[in-house]
Amino acid sequence: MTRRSAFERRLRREFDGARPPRADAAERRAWHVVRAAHAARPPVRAAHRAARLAAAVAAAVLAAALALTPAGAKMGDWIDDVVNRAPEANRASLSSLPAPGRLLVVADSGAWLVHDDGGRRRLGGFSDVTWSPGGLFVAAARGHELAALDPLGHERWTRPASGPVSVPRWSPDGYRVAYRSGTELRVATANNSDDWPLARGTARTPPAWKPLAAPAEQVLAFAAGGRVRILQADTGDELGRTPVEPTPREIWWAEDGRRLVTVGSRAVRIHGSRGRLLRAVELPAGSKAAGSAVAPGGRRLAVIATRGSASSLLVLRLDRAARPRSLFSARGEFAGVTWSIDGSLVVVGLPQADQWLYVRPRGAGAPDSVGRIRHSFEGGVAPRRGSFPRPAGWCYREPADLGTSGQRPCSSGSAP
Amino acid sequence: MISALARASAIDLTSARLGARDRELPSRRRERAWVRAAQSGSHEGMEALFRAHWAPAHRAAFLIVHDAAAAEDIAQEAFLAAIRALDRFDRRRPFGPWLHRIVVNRAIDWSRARALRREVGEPVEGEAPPKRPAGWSDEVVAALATLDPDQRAAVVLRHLLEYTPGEIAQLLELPRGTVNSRLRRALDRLASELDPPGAEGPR
Repeated sequence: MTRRSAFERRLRREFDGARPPRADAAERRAWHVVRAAHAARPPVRAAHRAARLAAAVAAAVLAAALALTPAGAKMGDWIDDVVNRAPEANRASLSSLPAPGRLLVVADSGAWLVHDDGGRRRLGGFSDVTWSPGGLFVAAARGHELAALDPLGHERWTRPASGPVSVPRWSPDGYRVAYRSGTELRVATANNSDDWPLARGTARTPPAWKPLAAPAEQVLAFAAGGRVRILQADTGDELGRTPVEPTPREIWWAEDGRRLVTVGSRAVRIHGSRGRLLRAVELPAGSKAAGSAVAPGGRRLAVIATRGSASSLLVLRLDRAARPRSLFSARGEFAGVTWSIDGSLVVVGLPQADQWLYVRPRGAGAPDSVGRIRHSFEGGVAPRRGSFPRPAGWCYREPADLGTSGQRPCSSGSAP
Repeated sequence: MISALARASAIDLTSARLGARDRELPSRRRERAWVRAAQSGSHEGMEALFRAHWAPAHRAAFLIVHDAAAAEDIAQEAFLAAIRALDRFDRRRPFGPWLHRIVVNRAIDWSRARALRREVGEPVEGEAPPKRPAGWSDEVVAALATLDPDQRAAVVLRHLLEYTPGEIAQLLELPRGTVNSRLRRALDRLASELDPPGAEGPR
């Protein structure tokens, strides 16, 4: 027997005996995802043909009924009504994303990362997460702790805080992370070497970094004392402030930092970069904003408006004076909204139907929908009553996907 | 038809559920039945395929990337890719090589990308120390880490998944000579790390 073949046998024995760490748990998680993807496959072709034939016959009968009989009008009303109650989930479960990239999700079971091919990973027991500007890291809040992780869930560092940590937001230059500790707004360096307070008595509204600012002029907007204040994050110098207004639910920068947008419960207010109010757009009478997200290009804002037991998804142009346009309405309260990073879709949650809706911002056709969202993110944790998995931010799969377009590679979802 | 397949698969699933180290790869006939059932929408057929092929795929990915979380993602993504292409799968061919090709190529891509990946404001300089898998010696972990991803892939395909050099060449779409030279260099390197000349005692 040669020394070489003996060595190869030893190597094979070692390989055969080895198992990756936590292999059983990995197999359980993977089977959960694979099973969902298999269940969501379209039926085999024969069934396709039968379904198409049945659908064609049903459509023909329906068209005849609508066109030829007086009862058709009533049937039309009924169909409208059914669609508006809750769309039928046309995807049984979350087996893939409808647009490229990776989606951060926050559920009762913690934070998750969903890939466009449907693979998903639980990052840990975090209550809020945000992408780093290039999508290579995630900042996360967990109790009295701020953490930085990579997308595989490896914790790079953690930083204890005196108060409960919330709403972490990574600066556009990648060097800083703003977060709240209790009601104090603080900024930590992204390599965890330093941390300093910026303001006390801040509202729970997530702070908003101004995009495309010079590296030495990282500017942060946040709500405190009935206004939104605009500060230089390193020096604390105040650069501007809005007039006194109701505490906004969300703050966004639009048009590459030329506009500051605040979303209050009754109106969207658009300000100049130093806080001067330019215009206010009232939501439809009786409606209340329940979440908003700015599109990757910074020119459109999606707003959830709830009125009574119904919700609408509105889109507002930020670069021109125009009334909000309703994209889709349904019975029930929408919860959580974010844009896909390519701007082709708005994702909004519909907890009553346990669905996410994929709404096209150009308003073409009924939205696609995907069911069993709670189940997809339960992770062995029974969800709290009333809570629902929230899309927290969308990012391209790799920074290289962007090419040289200069577009922002990651977006944020609505506030918790 | 489907229920008969499902029943057959349910019986066979017993063997597929055995521990990874205790089970053999399924016979070609049995695997064809699982694939046919999975294509028809049978949950049992899909589970049988998954249970039979998950452990080798996961282990292969781990041996190449040396990162438990990444290996889990890669193996999971490979199964998802396989499900997307399931309707087009030719049942006359074995399922394993098809899956392993996806796993190994993704693992190589991941390893290369990790080496290139850096971002302004990277939180920390150092990598987290990899967790050692159960059943491995420190020496093997350290020795494998000295190989480049292409060499690790060749070694894994040859000595874990037991493909011949010719089959590896087909899987990776490489000339057979390239595979042979990668294997030779990789084994020389591993031997020099694990079994240095002059070492005494049985191996």
